[in-house]
Order: sequence, then C-alpha cells, then structure tokens
Amino acid sequence: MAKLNDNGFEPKIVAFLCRWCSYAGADLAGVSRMTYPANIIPMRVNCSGRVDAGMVMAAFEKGADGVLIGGCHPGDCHYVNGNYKTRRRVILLKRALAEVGVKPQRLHLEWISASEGVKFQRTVTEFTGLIKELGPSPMSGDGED
Amino acid sequence: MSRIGVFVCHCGMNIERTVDTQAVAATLSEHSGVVFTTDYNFLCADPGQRLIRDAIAEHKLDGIIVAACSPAMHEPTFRRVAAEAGLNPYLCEIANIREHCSWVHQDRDKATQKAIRIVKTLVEKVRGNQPLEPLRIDHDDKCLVIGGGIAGIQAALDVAESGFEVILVEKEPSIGGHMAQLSETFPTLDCSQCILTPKMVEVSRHPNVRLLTYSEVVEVTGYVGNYEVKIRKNPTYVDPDKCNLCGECVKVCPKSVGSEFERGLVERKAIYIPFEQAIPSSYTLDEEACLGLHPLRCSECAKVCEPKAIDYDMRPEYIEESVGAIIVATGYSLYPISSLTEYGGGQIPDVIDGLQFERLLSASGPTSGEVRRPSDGKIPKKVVFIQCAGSRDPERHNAYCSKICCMYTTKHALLYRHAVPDGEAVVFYIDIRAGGKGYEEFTQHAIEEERILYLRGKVSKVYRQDDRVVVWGVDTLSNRRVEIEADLVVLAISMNPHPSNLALSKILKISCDADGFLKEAHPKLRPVESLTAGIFLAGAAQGPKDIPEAVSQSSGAAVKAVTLLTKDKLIHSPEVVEIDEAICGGCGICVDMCPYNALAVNGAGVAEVNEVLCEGCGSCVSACPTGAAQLKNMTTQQFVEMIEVALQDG
Amino acid sequence: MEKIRIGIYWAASCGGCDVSLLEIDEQILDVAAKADFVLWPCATDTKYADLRAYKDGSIDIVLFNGAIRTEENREIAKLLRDKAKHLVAYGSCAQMGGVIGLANLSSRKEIFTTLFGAKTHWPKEESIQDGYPLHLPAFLDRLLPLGDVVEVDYVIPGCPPPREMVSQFFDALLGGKLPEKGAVFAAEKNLCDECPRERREERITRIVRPHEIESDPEICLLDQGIICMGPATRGGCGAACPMANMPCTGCAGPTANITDQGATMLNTIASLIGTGLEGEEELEAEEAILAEIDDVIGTFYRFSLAASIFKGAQRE
Ligand code: SF4
Ligand code: SF4
Ligand code: SF4
Ligand code: FES
Repeated sequence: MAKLNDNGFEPKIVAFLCRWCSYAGADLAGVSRMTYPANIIPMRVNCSGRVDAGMVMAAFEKGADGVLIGGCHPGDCHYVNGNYKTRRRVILLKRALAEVGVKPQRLHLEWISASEGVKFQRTVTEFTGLIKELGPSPMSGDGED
Repeated sequence: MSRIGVFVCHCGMNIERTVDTQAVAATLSEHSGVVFTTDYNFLCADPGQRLIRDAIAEHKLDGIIVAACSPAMHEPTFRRVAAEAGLNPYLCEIANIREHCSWVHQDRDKATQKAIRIVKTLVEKVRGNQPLEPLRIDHDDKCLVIGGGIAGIQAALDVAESGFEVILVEKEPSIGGHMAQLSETFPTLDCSQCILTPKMVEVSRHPNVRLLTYSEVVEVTGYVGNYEVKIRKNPTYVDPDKCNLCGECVKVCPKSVGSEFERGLVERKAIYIPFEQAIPSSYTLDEEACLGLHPLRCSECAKVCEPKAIDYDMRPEYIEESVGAIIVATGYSLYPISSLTEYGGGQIPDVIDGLQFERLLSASGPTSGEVRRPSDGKIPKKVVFIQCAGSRDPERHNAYCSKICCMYTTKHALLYRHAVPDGEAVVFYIDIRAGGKGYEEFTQHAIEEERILYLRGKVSKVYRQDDRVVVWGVDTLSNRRVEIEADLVVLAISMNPHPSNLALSKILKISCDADGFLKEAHPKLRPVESLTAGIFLAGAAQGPKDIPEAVSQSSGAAVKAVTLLTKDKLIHSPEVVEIDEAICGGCGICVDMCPYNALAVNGAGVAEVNEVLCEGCGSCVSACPTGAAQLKNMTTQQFVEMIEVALQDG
Repeated sequence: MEKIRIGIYWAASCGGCDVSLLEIDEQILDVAAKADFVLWPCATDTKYADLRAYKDGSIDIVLFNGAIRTEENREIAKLLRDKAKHLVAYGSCAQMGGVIGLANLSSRKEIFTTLFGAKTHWPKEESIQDGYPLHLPAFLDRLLPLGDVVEVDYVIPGCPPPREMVSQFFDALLGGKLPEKGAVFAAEKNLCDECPRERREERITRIVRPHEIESDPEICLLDQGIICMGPATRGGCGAACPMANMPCTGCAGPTANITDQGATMLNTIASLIGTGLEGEEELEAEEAILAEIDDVIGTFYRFSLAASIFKGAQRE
C-alpha cells in the first residue's frame, strides 16, 4: 500500500463505479472491513460505458481534484463492451486535459472486478496519494492558476 | 420533487460506530427540498419499515432516500416499502453509507462528512427521478442446460419433470461427466455407475428433454425469458440410429490415442465409444485422431460397418433454439498433474491423479478393478496418498481448497485396502475437512479400523528410485522426517474450473471469479443465480463441490428456472433509454453502440428504442452527440447535479 | 408605422458577420423599408457618446457579433444590454467565443510575446502619442462569449451565420413574431438530420483529413474517416459544408441540452472508433486510430472552447 503523502491537503475525488464490478468491488472492500482514505465520493453508474467526457469535466469544474472511473475487466463488462468505449474516451480525454493544462493523471481508469476488494482499496489509496501529491486542481477553487 | 424524506440507518453499530447518523440527518434536513429526516437503529427490520411507511404517509413524501447498506442488499426491500406506502418505488433510492463509508473509514468526522456527501448525491438523483412502471414481457418456456454431468442431468430432469422442455447440451460424446468415471462414492460406497446410469437413461428418454451430445453452445443473444441460442452439433461421423454397436470398426481402426475416459491409462481407437454405458449409445469418430476422413486415406471402419452407419461427409449441424432460461453446469477439470513437478507429476509414471486411481479401482476400468500400477502392471503393496496436491498453495498452485479431496482420499485408501488386503496405505494431509453428513464417521472409521496411516504434514519431494517412488515428508505431529518407499503415489489433485468456463462466460455475458469458476450473484443469498437474469449455475461450474452438493444446487437452479418459466409475464426494469424525438437527428450513432440491438433509426428519421431489449447500460447515451438519448432516472442532468452536491462544501 | 430600431455591433470579430447580413439578398429591401439602423460601426459613423445618449431600452434589437476580448468589448456589451430591448448574440464568436476562443489555450502573456516580442515592445494601456494621451483598452486574460458578460436573448449561430438563419430571424423580427427568449435561430436537431449523405452506421477505422482522400460524395464523411462535427452541431445551414465535400466544423454550436460541444463530440468519436469488433485484441488498433487525431481541442472545440466547461487552458 502506498504511503500517503501527508501535506495536509484533503483532495476531493469523484469515483464513477460501474454497478456490476467496481461498485461491487467497493462493497466487498467494505464487507471485508478494509480501510482507505475518505476522500472519494462514489457514484454508481450502470456501466463504465456510461461515463462520458462531459461528466468527468463537470466533476473537475465543480471542484474535484481527481476523477476515478472503475469498470469491469476487459471482456467482463456486464454489457459486453461498455468498458472498451470508455477506455477509448479516456485516452482522448486525457489528451484533451493535457492540452488545456490539467494534469491527465487526475483522471484514472481502473478495472476492478466484484471480487477485487483489495484492488479497490489499493486503487483508492494510491490514487488519493497521487492527487495529494499533485495538490489542488487548478479548477477546484483553492488551486493556484 | 419538493417533499423528500431522508432515513438514516444505524445498522446497529455498523454504521453508527463511524458515522454520526444524527448529524447526517440534521445536515440533510437543511438541504433544499428535504422535508423530513430521521435516523433509526435498523431500518430494514419491521419497525424500521413501518417507520418509513408512516413517514411517507404523514409527510406526503414524494421521494425518499434510505441511507444504509449497499443497494445490492436492500434496494428491493426499501422500494417495496415505498410501494406499500403508495410511493412509486422508483422514487426511492439507497445511499450506501455502510460498505462504502462506515466500514472502510475510522475517522468518525471524515466518515460523517463523506456520508453527508453521499446522501446528498442521492437526494439530487431522486429529485430528478420520474415515477416508472416495470415493463411486462412475454417469454419462451424452454430451458437450456449446458453440461451433461450429474449436475446438468439433475437440473434437466427437475425442469423436465415440471413440464417444461429442456435442451441438454453436452460437449463430450456421452453424458455422465466425471461421475461416470468414479468407482464408488463416499461416504456410503455406492457404486457410482450404478446410481448414475439410471439417471442418464432417464434423462435421455424423458419426453421433455432434447439431448444434444458432442455439441457446444456457440452463440447466445437476447435477454431473460427470450434467449436465442445457437448450438453446434459436431459431427460424430456415425449415425447413431444405424449403429448397432457391433464394434467391428474399432477392431480395424489403425489409429490409437490415449483414452480420455480412462485418463490416458489405456488407449482407445480413433473410432470409439467412450465407455460401455455411454449415452447416446453409439460410436464416435474422433476427427482429430482419424487418419483422414477420406476413403483414399483409410476408410477401414466404413468398409467393415455393416449397417453403413459411418458417414465421412457429416458436417457440423447448427441448431437454433429459443429458450427462457439457461442453467450452466459445465463441471470441473483437474489441475494438470504435470504442473506438480515437486511430486514428480507427469514425469514418474507411478505418480497418478485421483481420477486415474478411480479408474484403477473401477470394475469397468482398464484393470477390471484390480489395482495395478501403470508402469509395470504390478499390484502396489504400498501406496502413498498426498492430499491438497495443487490446492491451498497460493504461492505455487491454487489458493482455494478443492473441498472433495479429503473425502475421496479416505475412500481411495479404504478401497485400496479392500482390494489389496496386505497393502499399506499412507495418507499425507494438512487438515482433514470432513464436514458433511456421515463424513467424519467415514474418515474416523478408515483411520481407526482400516489401518490406514494418516500423517499430518506436507510432502517435500517425490522421486523415483529403481522401480519404487520415494516420498519425503514430515510428520508434524511427531516432528519426524519421514521417508517412504512406495509402489504408487496418488495425488489428490486440485479441482480446476472447467476450461470452457471462460469462453462460455463471454458468450453468456456472465462473469467468472478470480479462480475461473462462474460467479454467483451473491455468495450467500443467491448462490445458484448468475448476475445475468435468467442464467443459473449448477454444480462445480460455480466452485468445487461433491456430488450431493452439486445435485442439490442443481435442483435449486432448476427451481429458479422453473419459477421464471411458470410466470405469465416477466418483469423488465423500466430504467431504459428514452429518445427525445425533437432533438434526435437520426444520425444513428447510438445504433451501433448498443450491444443488444435495442436501437434503430425509424422511418421518421429518429432513433427508436426496443425497451425490452434495452438493459440500460448507457453506452448509447455516452455516444449520442445531441443529448437526445437519455437513460430514465439516470439522465446526464441528474449526474451533473449529483456531482455538484457531492463536491459542495458545507 | 414606427420603424424598428436596429443596432449592429462588432466586438472581437473578423467582420464576416457584418458581411453576412448582406447575404439575405432582396430581403434587405424589406429590412431597409421597415427598420432604421441606429448603430452599425462597420457602415455608419456613430460615436460612443451618441450611443450613451440613447435612452435605456430605446434600441429594439441589437445584433452583437464578435467575442469579448478587451475591456472595451465588455463595456460596450454592458452598455448595449442597457440600451437594447433585445440583445442577439450574432455568430459563433458572440455565441461561444468562436475560432478566436482557441486563443484561450494561451495566456495573455504568451499571446503578447508571440505578437510583440519582448515585454518592452508590448503596447501600453496609457501612453502619449503625438503629444496626446492615448488609452488602449485592457486586453482580458481570457476571451469570453457575450453571454458570459451580459444576458443574451437570442442566438443566431454560424461562422458567419448562414443566409437561412439570418433570414429566418428577419422574418420573425419584421413580422413581429419574435420567439420566446432563449431561442436559437437554427434547427433543433443536429446537422445529420438535414445532411443528404448516407450514414452507414459504420465504425471509424481510420482518421483522415479531407485532402488526403477522394471522398465519396454520397456517403457520410464520418463513415469515410473524416471527422465531421455535424452530429454534435445544430442544423439549419442545410449542411452546406458536407454538401461541398467539406466536414462540418461545428460553427453552429451544439443542440439544446448539450453544454459542452467538444466533450460531446469527443465521446461520439471515441465511441465510434474501432475495427468493428470490440475486444482486448483490438485495443492496440484502436489506440493507433485515436493517435491520428492531432490537436484534440482544435478538432472538437474549434468554435466552442471559450464556452466549454474548461473555457480555456488551466495553469497547473
Ligand atoms: S445518437 Fe442521438 S441524435 Fe443520433 S440517432 Fe441516436 S439518439 Fe438520435
Ligand atoms: S442503454 Fe442504449 S446501448 Fe445500452 S442497452 Fe439500452 S439502448 Fe442499448
Ligand atoms: S457528413 Fe457530417 S453532417 Fe452529414 S451525416 Fe455525416 S456526420 Fe452528419
Ligand atoms: S458493466 Fe462494468 S464496465 Fe460495463
């Protein structure tokens, strides 16, 4: 588990979790009483394929310092291939973010299955650590320009 | 929506310990549109449910949020409660503050703040929700059972007996599965064939069962109640109606390969019958082993076949069926013995796996039930049984316990002692897991009265010395190193998921767990259902199981399937896509996105949804360039508002 | 009958919008007969002092083209808002910042350095020229669409607005049938609705630029690998560009319930990219196709960056 960089900054992270895998993986992390930083606000989507660029940008606009998208592993999407579509969107979106000067690492896509409570915990912990290191997003209000 | 109620559950101490539920309720009472909040010890219990119903009535609530455990647990419960109070169930949402909050955080303050954010997002969702009515749809009333082992047979029989047609698909030339290979079964020592064969016959003769052996499911489309299934029946090159089982073909066939049924202990010909009691009772020409399927190449078998049953021109046949429910009973395979190099697996001929030993014990086996070892056919006078071979070993092999090995090892040792009364049986074990009716008594009897030596400890090395197999191990109870010169070593090899699980899970759109077994909808409460509606799991396809367990799960799956098939109409979620016709320009981008073909651009130049096919994934919504396609109760607008409150401070 | 008082103003604009007004052919006679132009810097000489002297609400309608780039643009926009009964964002720049909104990818400093070189060469806001004090309006940090500065009543989109939309507007104005506030004088549906090209609902297997292939004039440009913004753009222009064998670049802005045109088109393209199969084996091929899009922002936000969620570059 990554050690949290403790610079006092408490980032806000929106996590879009697909209902069949990552959301269930987060449930499993809960059932197994694993702990991770409380900075993420989970939001259930039916499929990672529902997460679009506008939603991610809206999250940054409204003050998120990081956005996590959790989907089923390749080949496991409950709806066959929604995760592949989102994977492509994320590639383009990261490039768009970079072009407008937002660090693309602030957006993270991870495949977490319903049986991977540990991976959920690790992903959230590491991602929170990374965003802490990056500091506030330039759009979150407290971020510097 | 302006009269929203928020109910915050303590879940005993489960939530209350780390989340200040009172503070959550108090903060939410300030949130716009929220007119009622409360916290309560157990909302899912009867008094809790009553509290919700009463509040809905008393405060005329037009939307509620239950902040409690995961919606995977109680969403249906609370939606029903809402409905009972006259509130459209789709105006009830669950805020997950247990699995996603109280259980994973320790800082009470941070957890409370996070819980508040979570609940607020759901308030915004409910605010944007519209009342919906479930869709009612027709369904087919046949059932597909995949796998013709004991689990599949049992499920097929149960469904067929309930009056529904069953299509039973088996990959191998005969039904029967692994159970047909077993000599006797624990703990009662019934002859496996004797209890299985009648069932095989029954299922093959049942008027409601269509049996397709040597067949594979290649494509499944559709949805619960209305699956379109495509099955490939591979050519056996022998017409079972003409074949009179004379066996002349086998005598002339020049090509031999290892017999699958005998687990390679003996050979079979390219044209063969897997075992005597095989059903269907007919020969199969193994295309891969055959020298050429062409009169110019060989055709010895066709020449001697009097009834002219052999037909080299047979082609795969594709069969299409519409079914309402599917039961998956693919069974298991064994962990490859060659991967167990530390035990000489695959290298020392007298190190064999459990199923090979079953064949050696079986009266119908290659040695007619006399235990003779593979290398030289001698009767082994000292046999070492190694339990947990490939199981419970996360570093090198499978991490899980294969569950049946303890018991079948006892059985093996015992049967061996009966077959070779002057033989010595030694068992290496880590633990003995004999949880099952009569199981503990069975092992105890074996240990105490059958003079079987049980050594607690692991085997570190197995090697060959002259014609013997030397086993090094430790007896952890006496703390002694042991070295045994054995004649035969039997590995209680780990159960592996069936190799077809992976491909099948993709065809069926169900998932496999990390080990490759098919994943159940809930490990405790929905163990026979997959996450996809209308697809059920039976037997070792879902995880290691012994026969009684596999059979009971099969009956469970059958009941689930029958419950579905008996329904007049199926209910489909109304949370489907809706097209705003005023905006949709008919670009058709959504059409190609839908994995279920639920969309088409109609004559009027706008996209149209087949609601029954729509599973609500939202792929089309994300792709629609105009915003015309929206998921009911999960609109982009709702998400934006949820995101906003999630990030709001204070 | 009293004549309708029309004002036309240009802020940060190329002048094309002013010219586009003349494209309405003989309808212009009708306009001249029924309306007076009380302000039109491009054609008549009006001083700001005259404008300030107008009573509030005394101009029936102001067509404002160009974006807000300087303090002066902002000030006049506010002034015109007061003077006008109805304020119209005319053209893509007023509506969404337009092409020049892409300047928001650079800071004021970067823009000035590119234009004028070292800081010493930068124009000063206050200076003495030929003995007279000269005040230059401040250059804003960011270019803004008109709607970010004042409330806008109507939008006539386009770069420049095409004849169909302009004349639709004058019909409504002269006929006294102005629609409800917020109306956009363009189609409700996307461009594909009026585009005669046939969409085959195919995946995008390669991305090419118009000059790189000889495209089939009957088939949807997207199907041929040319990024056409038509799907994410309002119709109303008669699909002029696709009919001239050029892809739509999105000048009319998105349909009503889309907030970010670029993000939307990015979604659409990413969804459509692929070999036709979806699977792990295809990932590399998909990545290669995506890599063919250079300049993501310039492609998807050609006219709308200043009005997008991000509005321009963030500094991090
Ligand atoms: S993608 Fe959107 S605009 Fe295009 S046809 Fe589908 S619903 Fe209509
Ligand atoms: S949400 Fe759209 S893509 Fe998904 S199943 Fe429904 S119609 Fe098909
Ligand atoms: S060419 Fe452009 S406007 Fe025409 S149908 Fe294709 S995407 Fe739509
Ligand atoms: S359902 Fe999980 S990514 Fe599609």
